[in-house]
Amino acid sequence: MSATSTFGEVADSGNAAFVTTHWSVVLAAAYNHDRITEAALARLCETYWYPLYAYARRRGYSVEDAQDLTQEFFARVIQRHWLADADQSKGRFRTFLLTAMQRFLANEWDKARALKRGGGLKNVPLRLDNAETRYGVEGTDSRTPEQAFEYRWAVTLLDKVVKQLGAELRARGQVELFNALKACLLGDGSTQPYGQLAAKLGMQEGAVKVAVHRLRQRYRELLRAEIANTVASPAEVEAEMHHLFNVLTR
Amino acid sequence: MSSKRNCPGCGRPLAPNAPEELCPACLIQAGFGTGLAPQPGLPSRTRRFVPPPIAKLAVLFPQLEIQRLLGQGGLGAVYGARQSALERLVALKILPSEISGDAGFAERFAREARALARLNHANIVGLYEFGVAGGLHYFIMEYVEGLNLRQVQQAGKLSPPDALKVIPQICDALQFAHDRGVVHRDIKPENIMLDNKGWVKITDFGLAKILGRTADGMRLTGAQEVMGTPHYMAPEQIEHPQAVDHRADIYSLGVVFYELLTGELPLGKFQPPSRKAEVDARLDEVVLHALEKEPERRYQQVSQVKTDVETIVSRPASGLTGQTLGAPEARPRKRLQLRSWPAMAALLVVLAALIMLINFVIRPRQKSPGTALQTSALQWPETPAIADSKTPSIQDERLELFPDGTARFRLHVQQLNDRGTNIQTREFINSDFVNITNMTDAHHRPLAFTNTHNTIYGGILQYSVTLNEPVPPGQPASVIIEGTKTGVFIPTAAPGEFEYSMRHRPLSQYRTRRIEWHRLPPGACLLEKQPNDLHERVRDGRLELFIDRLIPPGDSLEIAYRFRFEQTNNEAPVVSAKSFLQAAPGGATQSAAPMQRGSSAPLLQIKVDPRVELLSLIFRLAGNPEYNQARVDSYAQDAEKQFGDFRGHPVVALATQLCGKQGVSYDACMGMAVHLTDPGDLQFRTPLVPWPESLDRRWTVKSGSNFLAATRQFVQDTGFNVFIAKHRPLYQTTENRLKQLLDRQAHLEWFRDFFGERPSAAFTVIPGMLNGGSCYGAHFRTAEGREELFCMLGVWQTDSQGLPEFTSGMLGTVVHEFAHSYANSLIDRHWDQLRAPAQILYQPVAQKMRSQAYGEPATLLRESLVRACGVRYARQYEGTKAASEAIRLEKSRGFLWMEELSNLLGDYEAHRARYPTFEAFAPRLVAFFQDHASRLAGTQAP
Repeated sequence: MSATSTFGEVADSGNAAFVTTHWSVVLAAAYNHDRITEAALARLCETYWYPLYAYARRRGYSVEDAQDLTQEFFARVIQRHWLADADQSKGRFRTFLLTAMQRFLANEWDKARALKRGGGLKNVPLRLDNAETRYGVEGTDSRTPEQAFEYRWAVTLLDKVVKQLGAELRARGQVELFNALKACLLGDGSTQPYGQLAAKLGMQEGAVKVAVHRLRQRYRELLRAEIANTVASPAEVEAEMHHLFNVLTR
Repeated sequence: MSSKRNCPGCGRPLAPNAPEELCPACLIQAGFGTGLAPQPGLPSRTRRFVPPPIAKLAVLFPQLEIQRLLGQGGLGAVYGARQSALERLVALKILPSEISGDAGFAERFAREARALARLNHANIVGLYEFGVAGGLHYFIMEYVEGLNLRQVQQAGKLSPPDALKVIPQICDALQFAHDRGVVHRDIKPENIMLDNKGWVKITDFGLAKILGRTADGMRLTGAQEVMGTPHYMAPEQIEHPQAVDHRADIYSLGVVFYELLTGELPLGKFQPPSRKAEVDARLDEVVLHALEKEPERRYQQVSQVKTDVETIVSRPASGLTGQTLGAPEARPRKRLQLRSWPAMAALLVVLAALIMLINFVIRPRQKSPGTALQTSALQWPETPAIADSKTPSIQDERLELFPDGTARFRLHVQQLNDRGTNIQTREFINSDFVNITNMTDAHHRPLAFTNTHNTIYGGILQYSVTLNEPVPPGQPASVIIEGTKTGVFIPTAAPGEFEYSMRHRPLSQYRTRRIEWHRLPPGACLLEKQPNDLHERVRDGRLELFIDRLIPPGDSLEIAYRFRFEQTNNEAPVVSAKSFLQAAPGGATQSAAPMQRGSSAPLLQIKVDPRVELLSLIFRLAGNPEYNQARVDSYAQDAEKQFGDFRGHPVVALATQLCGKQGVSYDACMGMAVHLTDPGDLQFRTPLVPWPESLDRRWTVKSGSNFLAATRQFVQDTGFNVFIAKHRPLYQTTENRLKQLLDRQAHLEWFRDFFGERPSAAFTVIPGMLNGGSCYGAHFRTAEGREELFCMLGVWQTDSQGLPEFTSGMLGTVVHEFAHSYANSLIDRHWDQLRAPAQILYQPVAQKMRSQAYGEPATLLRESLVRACGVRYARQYEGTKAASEAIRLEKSRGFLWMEELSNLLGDYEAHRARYPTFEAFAPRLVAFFQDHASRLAGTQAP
């Protein structure tokens, strides 16, 4: 029973946050043109463009092409060329993006490239200039473009969550605490004993334990909230998390 | 700084862009809170799959010696195993029960299994058995020792010339599958294996959707699910995954081909292969044609790709520099010689499966002398039926009796869900599920019986019983069957899967278990059982067994019982081919029927025909694809050894020319074969006269005579007759095996009944040893006016020893080909009236017809009529359901009027007094086609 109630809690808190999250808003408003929708979508795109860039690179497009087509693609996404399709893509932003990108590359990119220079689409504020640096750092692996997309999606999402967590602590003046305890997010096996940490931070061991507990709790909340941003309903959060786990441990 | 670091938690290398230098995998895991404990209420497919340990599998699969885990992925694991009884290596593919959450998986599982089971081809990984054991969906498959194309490519072992040897084999396999309505839908290098003899083996038909066979219009791939691997997917497959046909595979093949030649994917605006790599520029056209974005503009048949590639390979381009193409002597279907294959075989086939409903596994149990069974002639009271449709039931159970004293009985256990749709079929392939120990007649006199597996029906157990005396037609007869069943019952660790129990106790206690077996006919009884506390009852005609004690998960329980039941035939006895032979007037039959009476005509001959072998061989050498698909490997190798060097012989050149100019190919070659005398002294049996009086319109008197002269020369030059003599034993085995099948299962009397008496006609079934999957009908009239009807049945299936094998699935082909000899002549005789309607009818379906190699309106009508006759045959011997299924299939192949035409033939059957022969019915058939055409023309008019 305990497992069920845990899930229930999550779903409840997820519900509370859900009203304002992004992908569900976009989905609900797929046929309406309003600023909130556009803003929600733009924020999602700003966070998650990089996995698609990596996907395009892995598919063999040059740096320049990949930047261009990522820009072009998101310009279209934001102007909601394909939102009517979104409800068919399993309700997840991740799947929607990949499916739309595949379709875009299969059918429209060639045409779009021809028209691009004179096209009327406005640019999306993506930080494409650092894309290749980021991509280059990661080196090569044996993943397929799809796997590469999924993997980077998961890492991007986690990166956002951890950064958000760090920012929250920083705002409370707890930068050092965060830096010292962040490794504890991974579980007890991967960090120094609490005693050592306490000594380093000049805290009681009990206080460190509490801080770690809170840090982990907040991390889980933020993680679930961020995942909730990318799925259509609270019920999918857990499944998406399992999916990301599988992606990262493949 | 650049030194690689590992995560202190899980030990994985730390990703360069890891958030705050924290391991992403551990981060996400931390998100779950208490790790990855299974979470009730979650879709189970998201849990991680852990391949079952070999020790556990050893219990579930006692017939296998499981040797090692070959590979695993998120969706399954493949083990190498040895099937001791058959002394062969197999691959055991286990699908995780964890991913079996949604109904789509079960559907796909069952579908892949059926699709695979129908694909018996040298270039397709064969399926031996499938089912569910201990909650795990599994396949037992052909073991392929080798690498997949991706691995070969990465190892740098594949040069463009190698690629040109691989592609035709892929084409063969795909064409074979396409001919059977199976589209692979996920052709990519990972799914193409090369065994270490260099043979291609295509695997993972898991995404295949059987065209036109979707039950109740159920969508097998959700509208939003795109199955396949995007790089290799045809544009229409991404756009409309529902609507793809075999041409999607042709596109994917094009991508693979491009990649094999250039090492790159054809992305965006890509360059033709010859600009990227040193390959023959003529190949560009082939690759680009396959990669056309519009399916209509692509190759329509994958066999055309093969033909084009082989044409290019066999005729080196002149004036091209840097050619790396095959040398002039390169031959089609030559095995790929790869030099240093690492001995490896890790084939990971990823799949999906579903919830498991039967939780017991049966294995043959060694009887130890000490375990005497408790004897108690039990009779159970009928207890009230509880709606429980999850129990396996026998779907197809029939005792067929034959006037000559044989009977057949078969079991086919199927499981239905509560909506009545099939969710699982337990089909017993090489399984020792039930052991029939004794059969008697109603007077308890013992009957002789044999116990066989019929693989074409997915391993239905089939018993042939010899009755003590013939049963008069229309009379019921009974057989009393006794048997034993032994097995091991293994409780699952998931108590929730048992939703019912006898005493309604909480299931989590593993207290009460029901062990089920299939439905037994009313009056069935249990004779012995073990252990003693195995409780049983009959409900709804179904035997149910219970154990009322604790069996913890992981433990097992051996059970054994002996049963008896009586099986009575409720249908009119079926007449066998044998009785058809006996009933036929005149002459003596070649096949030694045991109950041969009087002097019956050789109405059904079964023989390998040297003339057919000769012509198949010549057109094989000439490179005709349809004569290059031999499946009897040793035979084809012998032929290659003896005749391979004669590709420059005048007759081969002539055959190539005749094919190119006159279209002499396929049945035209076989038509010529039956016009010849034995190759020992090669002549025309009757003087050649122009079409339509004799031969085929693709032959002329002149070309035929030239061909005869050159063929005679070929026979002399090559020692052809020695080859035939040398292979007599093989022919004999082949003939015997085919005869066994036809004697038992073909209803050739139907031809006489349906088409009317044709007293002088002789039927001959000729196994075409070199013809692979191609079958033809042919027809010859002797100088005395006697008619000979031929069915050239390609040999496309072999057993583990490489000997030809015939299964009842081939019966339809025999019926089809013989029906041609009636239908074709009817269409031809009335061609003047039919020409115009045929053209109108052909137009809208032209593309579909051409894709089946039916290039002419006349063929459309012939095929329509033959197929409608096939439907009538199916209706009579397999029931209305089979007939409707056949109609649906034919419609999907473009024979849109099949239902009406079949109904019209029903009218013919019902009024045979008015229409004593098929010919007498011709005016109605002509009117049908005319009427249909004018209606079609009417709807097309504005």
